[in-house]
Amino acid sequence: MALLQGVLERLGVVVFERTDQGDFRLCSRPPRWLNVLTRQVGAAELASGETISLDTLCDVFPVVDSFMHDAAAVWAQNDSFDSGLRSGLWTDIDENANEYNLEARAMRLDGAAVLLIENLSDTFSDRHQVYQKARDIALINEKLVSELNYRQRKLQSEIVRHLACESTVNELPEAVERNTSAVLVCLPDGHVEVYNKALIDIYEMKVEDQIVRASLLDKWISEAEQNYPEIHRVLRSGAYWEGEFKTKGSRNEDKWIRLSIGPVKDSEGSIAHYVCVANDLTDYQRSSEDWHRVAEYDFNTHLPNRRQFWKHISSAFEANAGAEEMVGLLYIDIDYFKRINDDFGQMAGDFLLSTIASRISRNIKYRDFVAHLGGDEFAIVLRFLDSEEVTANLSDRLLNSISEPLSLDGHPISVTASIGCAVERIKDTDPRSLLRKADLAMYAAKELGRSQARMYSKAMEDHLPMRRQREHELSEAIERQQFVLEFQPQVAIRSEKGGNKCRGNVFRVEALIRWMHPDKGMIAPSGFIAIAEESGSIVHIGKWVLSEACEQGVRMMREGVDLNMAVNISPKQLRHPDFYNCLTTVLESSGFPPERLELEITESNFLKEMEAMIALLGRIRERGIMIALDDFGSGFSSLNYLKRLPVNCIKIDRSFVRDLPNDIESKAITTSVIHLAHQLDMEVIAEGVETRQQMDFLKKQQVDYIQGFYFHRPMSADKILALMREDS
Amino acid sequence: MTMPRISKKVCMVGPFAVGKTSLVRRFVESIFSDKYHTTIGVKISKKVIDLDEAQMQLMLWDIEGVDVFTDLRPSYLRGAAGVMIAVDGTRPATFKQIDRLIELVNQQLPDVPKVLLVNKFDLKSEWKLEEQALEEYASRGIPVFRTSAKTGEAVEEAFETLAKSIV
Repeated sequence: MALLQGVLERLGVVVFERTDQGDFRLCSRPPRWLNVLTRQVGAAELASGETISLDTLCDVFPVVDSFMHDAAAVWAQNDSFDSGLRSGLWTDIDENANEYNLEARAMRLDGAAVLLIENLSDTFSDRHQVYQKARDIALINEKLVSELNYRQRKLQSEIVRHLACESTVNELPEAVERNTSAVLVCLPDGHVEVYNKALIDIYEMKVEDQIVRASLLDKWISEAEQNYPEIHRVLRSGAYWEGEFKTKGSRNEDKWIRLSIGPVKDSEGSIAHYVCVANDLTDYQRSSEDWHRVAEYDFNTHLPNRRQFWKHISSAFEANAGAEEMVGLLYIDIDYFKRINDDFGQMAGDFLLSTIASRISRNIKYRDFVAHLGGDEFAIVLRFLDSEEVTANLSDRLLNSISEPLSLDGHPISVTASIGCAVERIKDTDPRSLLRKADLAMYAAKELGRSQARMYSKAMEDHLPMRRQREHELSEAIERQQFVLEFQPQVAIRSEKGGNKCRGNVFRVEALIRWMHPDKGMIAPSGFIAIAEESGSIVHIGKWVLSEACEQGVRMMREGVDLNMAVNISPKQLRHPDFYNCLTTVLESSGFPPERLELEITESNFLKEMEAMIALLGRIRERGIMIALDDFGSGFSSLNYLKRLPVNCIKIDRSFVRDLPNDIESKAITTSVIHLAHQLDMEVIAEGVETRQQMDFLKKQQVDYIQGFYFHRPMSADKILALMREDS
Repeated sequence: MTMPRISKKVCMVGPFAVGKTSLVRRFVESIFSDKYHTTIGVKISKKVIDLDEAQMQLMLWDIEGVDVFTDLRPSYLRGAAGVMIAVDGTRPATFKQIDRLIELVNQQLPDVPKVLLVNKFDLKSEWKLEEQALEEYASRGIPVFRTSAKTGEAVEEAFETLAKSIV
């Protein structure tokens, strides 16, 4: 026993056992430092076997006071919590300025609640040196990385802007030519169009022809693919990609580069060029061993980055090769993150990512591993799984936690995520394959409407080619006349308006697109609009809808229907530089009266370039065209901008209507929106109304129009004509 | 007659290397050293200050900076009556963490008074921040102080303001 006491003393460990009364009995021999600190707060010195009250213990060690809550949870468990729960290190200073570096640890041993106080002063200096050096380096690197990122993204945008104005790409602006970042502009098939000198320098190519022959885009994609298996999917979808990876130099030597690839689309929405900007990180990489450690963490989210992720998962697989152990991978992608970055700016985007990183970290267990893979993507590695159910439960928790509201530049917003899960036995898979499967499952979650988690299944393997097929079919659907319009009446329910008609017997309808697919039959917008938005074909589809709605509107008016036609305008369509001209042309060529056209736009349009949007809408209103704010309440609703917008009408989002009249929050929001809109002299349409109860509630709140299955489903123009005749 | 003494815990949080320890040392010991000496874990100091009708013993928890190795340990915040969030006026990367730190603090201590210290005011010419952004914090009820642990500028004022708001 004396030997053990001696060992504990030498190790600087003091052992307390919590008594049934909640005091602490000293089980080990008291070292000198314990009584120095005890005397310092005016308490009596302790001898082995004596007890100390919790209050006195907390006076001696203030950190124990904060730690007690977590410690109590450990003691409440029946068995030992592995090696116990640590309080985190603290430094106490005695009256003679001696520093003591201490840490508390709570554990349960043989049924006893044990509290250890460890004096780590002997090893503290070594630990401190490591942290000191690493943080010194981190400080330098923070400045370097911040400068590099800024330069690279700025250059990328400059070139994309340049290409948007130039129909041919023969040369780059001089500033780009002289830039120290390497630049390569190529066609989607990799054919090199232009490049600058820095690119030749990175690869030390003597003959310029080598650049052309080297098929650098293919080379980069294949090298990056080792760490970024999703790169093909990202580029195919027309999204911006950036990452760091190892590349082979001209003498087959290893180099590290940071590469960004930005697609440039033509007026048809197809990818015309890729702009690649690269920086050689090899020197940074070699500058210090410690840099590796720093470079394995993301500076913004403070999570291990993709490099560390691969290291972690690869070593887990290597150490357990052939094992039966089930390992799970969750691939998390924030929904519409680009929109947030575009609307609020990159700093806000970074804040959002760091907040989400913190929320994800709080949901995982200590032995799980979370990494920030880059952009808006995170991954969690789950070891020792008993079943797939664990990943499902964690996914649910993550979806809830991520969607908790937060404030971005003063705007209360809520974001969602799509999560892909893959679970396999180590013996049956490898890290790359596991990540690819989780990525595919995440992609399926996006396809199914986002804000959900999906478990990988083999059927998903066939889905990716399906999406490419869908994109291709969409691009040809207009030409092949596969789109049709249906019209859903918006019924006036305020007494002075009455029935299907309103204000001077005008009949209100919203034009809704349907895709008559030759094999799949009728596809609702939810089945293709997201793809059209991502591929850019939404601009052409939107133009077709506008034009067709106006032409059919003219036809119905000729048949005697005095109608208002509402048409949805996508954010991309509204922001297209040619939108106003296109609108004017459509109205002129169809002959549809502008004052009978209502454009339904969403509020997300106004978070970016608000002044320009207000000016554009002002011009549109000057032509007599009406404007409705669609899906109000579903996004970043801000009452601040509402009064400034030249809007006639607000459409309450169906998500609020759905829960009426029972849900208190939906009732409160709906009522407030209706009253506010009326005070601002706007009309209000409630969409998605399906029941009598919903209708009664909305009528009582004096909503102006009801749209939904309760009155009418969307129908063809002929049926609208029949309805109108019936109504008259 | 001796004034009554109350004891309150105040936490100093922020990204690494913004000068948290220097601010505490400047306030407690009126000392400043240019050398960056990183903190591991938490360092606890005490300082008694006179308020109008009482003395307050501040237990100052100088908490290890948030960085790639360490996130803010929520248990350190438990029981705090006030929180000081410090950032470095010369490093934009540290501003990005303000909102996240506020959120972390609010989760543990929803109603606790907070002050924001933008440190290294002695290097004002190298500051890279938008004054308007700071005003926004002030308008949200978080007083902002442009401090210099080196010269002592606004340091006492910041601690006293927080102490008064705790009372």
